[in-house]
Amino acid sequence: MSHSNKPLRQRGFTLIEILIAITLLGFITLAVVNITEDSIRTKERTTEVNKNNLQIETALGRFEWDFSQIYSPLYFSSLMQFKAPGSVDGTADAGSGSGTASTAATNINLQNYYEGLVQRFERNEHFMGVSKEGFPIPRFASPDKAEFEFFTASNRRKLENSKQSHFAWVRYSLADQEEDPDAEENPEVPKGLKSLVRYFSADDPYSEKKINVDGEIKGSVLLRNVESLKFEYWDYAKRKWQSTLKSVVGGESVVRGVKLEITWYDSAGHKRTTERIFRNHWPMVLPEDPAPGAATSGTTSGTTSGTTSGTTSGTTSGTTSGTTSDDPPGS
Amino acid sequence: MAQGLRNLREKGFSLLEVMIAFALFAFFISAFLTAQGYNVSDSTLSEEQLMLQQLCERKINELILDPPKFTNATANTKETKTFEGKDYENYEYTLEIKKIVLPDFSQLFAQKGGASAEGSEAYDGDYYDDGNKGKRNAAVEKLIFDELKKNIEKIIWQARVTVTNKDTKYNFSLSTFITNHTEKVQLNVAF
Repeated sequence: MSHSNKPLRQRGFTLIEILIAITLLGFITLAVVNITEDSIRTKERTTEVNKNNLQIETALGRFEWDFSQIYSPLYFSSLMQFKAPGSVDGTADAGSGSGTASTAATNINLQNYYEGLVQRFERNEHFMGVSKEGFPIPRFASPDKAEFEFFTASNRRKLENSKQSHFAWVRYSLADQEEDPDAEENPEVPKGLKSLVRYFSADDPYSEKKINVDGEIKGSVLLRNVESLKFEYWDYAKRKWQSTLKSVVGGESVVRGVKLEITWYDSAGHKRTTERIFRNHWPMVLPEDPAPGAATSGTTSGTTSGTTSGTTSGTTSGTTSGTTSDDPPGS
Repeated sequence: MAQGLRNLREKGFSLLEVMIAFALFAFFISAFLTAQGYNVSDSTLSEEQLMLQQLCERKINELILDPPKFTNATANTKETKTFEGKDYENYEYTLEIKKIVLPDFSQLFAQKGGASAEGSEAYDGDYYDDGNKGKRNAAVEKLIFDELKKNIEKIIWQARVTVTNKDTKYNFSLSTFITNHTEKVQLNVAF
């Protein structure tokens, strides 16, 4: 019994020892807490920054994919040189066939066929006529600065044998956004913002009706909390950006470049503006610079008579001038 | 009993053990901190890279949509400018425009056949032996090559855009071929 007393007494700590231990422990804990807190903060910051960047990149990447494959036959061909139906001139010549010595009967058949095509596609909301080969020419639209609707070859069938081609109409615009119940309320983000929405219709690309936004086609939201969106279109002839397609020479059928400016609030409540320029994949087959002489003489002779032989038909009508190559095969 | 008592007494840590424990702790903490540091710097770097890349793409797209006039004065030019706009004032771009220069036909032929075209054994007046396809007419090939060379040098130009952050000196660069639309292909081959 007596010998066990001594070791028991030595097992305790002195006050000093305990004080030192506690202080040391305190310092270490402080350091550890600091480090963990830091790491949590950096994790939040980096994921948030990366998430915001990813979001805008995905949204604009979608637009880039669609716009890069924008489609119109006028990118590689020209408008049909064809006498409008009901004209006084009986001897209309159907542009491409004029060179060959074909019989009158086939000429008339061809003419009827082309007339049918033209009549079908000439005056509707989505198409504006037929190209030299008989391909319908889509009409791109920009009813206001925050909306752009165009014909694209970017569709890919999701189901084998579904009745879809790679053509589709697609529209980018702003829409009122629904409240997202899962999203955290950020007091710095103002109310009444909109969403960037992509409407897409591949079911019947040659229909004459526009995309019905309120009806069966439901847009997919690309980016939330958008304050403003602005499209601008490159006018090659005037070498400047235009705010509507109508003011671009030939812009309703051929667009070379789009400048997109979008102002939005990210998840941290910061207002951000992103500006991008997009091009499509078509080669730049361009008319000659609006040089003196040739262009003006081409206009006058091209519009007055159906036989545009000899003169450049590059500027015969307002719609084709931005598109036709220097030497149209028809002339 | 005595054995057990000593064991009990020795249950405290020695200085060495405590120091090893501290060293291990410090090692893991520093590893953690460096990893985190990389995380942060990678994130800022990727953000920076994204920015540079976007600016670069924008400039290249602008250049392709609105090409400059290609004359002899534009060849081999290099200009540096700062981007407009408050957000981009830290970024500058350098635009280089170059002509494509192809070697002369005689140079190409000399490399293939030996020291010089005329001196090599394969060269036989107008004809030369390329080894697998028999005799070929050097004069005709030269005629065609010269036409191609003339047209390519006239029509296709090279451009490179380099965007640099003035503070960090990070940069990103893109290059492209630009077609000179004011020129046309001209072939004057006559046999």
